[in-house]
Formats: sequence, structure tokens, C-alpha cells
Amino acid sequence: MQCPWCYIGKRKFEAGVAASGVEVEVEYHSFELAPDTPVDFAGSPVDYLSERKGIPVPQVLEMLERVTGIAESVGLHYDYDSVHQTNTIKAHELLHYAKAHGLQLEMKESLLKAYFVDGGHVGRIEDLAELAAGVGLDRADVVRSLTENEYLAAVKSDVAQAAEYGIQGVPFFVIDGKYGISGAQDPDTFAGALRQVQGEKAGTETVITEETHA
Amino acid sequence: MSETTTTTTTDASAAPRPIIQLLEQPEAGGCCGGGSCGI
Repeated sequence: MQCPWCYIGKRKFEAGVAASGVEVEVEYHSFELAPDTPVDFAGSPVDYLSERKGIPVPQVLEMLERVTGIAESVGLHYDYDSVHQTNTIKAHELLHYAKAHGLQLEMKESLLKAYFVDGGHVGRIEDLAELAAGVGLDRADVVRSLTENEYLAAVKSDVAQAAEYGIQGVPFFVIDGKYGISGAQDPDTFAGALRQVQGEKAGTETVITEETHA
Repeated sequence: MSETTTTTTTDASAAPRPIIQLLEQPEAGGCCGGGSCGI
């Protein structure tokens, strides 16, 4: 949710799928990068990376400028001046809720856009419920689900599965449960991998891609 | 007096192997939470 490479990787993956001509079914799985971040972290990503990760401010600014430029190259207008650094466990729970209601892809796109582009808050239940309603989910039921931690176990299960796979960073793409692609690769890399996997299957079966993200 | 012996055998086919096979790919941007890998 807060990894800038995940949104960039999503765009590049989508372009790769389109170029490959392979029929793909996508599922998102959770990965926690900074579970100790408070929901109401009082600071920007610059503050977070410099104060919590010990990276000098000039280096953080350079990193953000670079990633913002790469985002721009895939049509994403990151606005780091308005980003709210937060804890994203509830946003991950919401993605599992959305998956159960057939709207995970829409919810994922909405959360990423809210965080990186629109200056939205993706840590607080009320803000998340508003975003959920925007993609057609039941606002009140989302509040209930997130308040009751209905999908917390599902998030933790994903985190455990990622560890079992040996995943150490995101985005990470698992194809048909056995092949992995790490990072925000270029569309050609994704397209080639998808064609390779489909070539190993009979006919034109759907290729299932699980995208692990934070 | 009896003695029980437990024998453990190792099946080579059951040796640990990567669950996920990484497809050939170049280095690309990603996040590992430590900050050092690009955020």
C-alpha cells in the first residue's frame, strides 16, 4: 500500500498482460513492510524514512524524486507532499474484505490512488470505509468488518505464506503458485514470463497471478 | 528386556527445495522495509 514500486509495478504488470495476450486472473496478497508504524504517524514519508530508518534527508529526497519520476513515466502522478504515512493493516484487511465481495482489484487501485496521488489517509477505518463505498462496497458493513478485525487472520496468513515462499520485498508476483517475479519489472519481462508459463500449460488456460504487495 | 530402535531415513526426493522458482529477470525497483533497497 505504501511501497511506491508496487503501484508502478502494477501498471507495468498490466501493460505486460496486455502485451502478452495471455488470459490472467489476479489476486492480491498482503505483505507488511513496517507493522510498527502508528496509524496516526505525525509526519511525512521523508520524516518516516529519515527518523525511523535512519536515511539522511538528502538521500530520502533523492529516492523520492527518482521514484516519482519513474511513476510519472507510467502515467502515475505521485504527490509526496500530501502523502499520509500510516499503518496499513486495516487497508490490507479491507482488501481481503473486498476480495470476498468480488471487488478486490477495484479496491486496490482506489487505495493506491488515494495514498500516492490524492493525499488520502489509508490507515483510519472511517477513511477506508469512504474509499470502500466509492468502489461499491457497503460502507457500514466495512466499518463493522474492520472494527471486528474480521480479516486480520487472513492478512497474517498471507504474511506467513510470503515468508514461506522466501519473499523479502515487494512487489512480488507469483505465477500459478510456482514461479516468481520480483520487483517492478518492465512490461516485456512480465509478458515474456506469462507467455512462458502459458506455454507450459495445455491450450489457453487462464494463468493465475498472485501479486504480493505492501 | 527389549530395546526399541528408531531409524530415520532420508528420501532424496523430499529434500528441501525452493517453493517458488524465480524466472529469469533483471534487477528492478522494490521495497523491503529497510530503506536501503529503494524505500
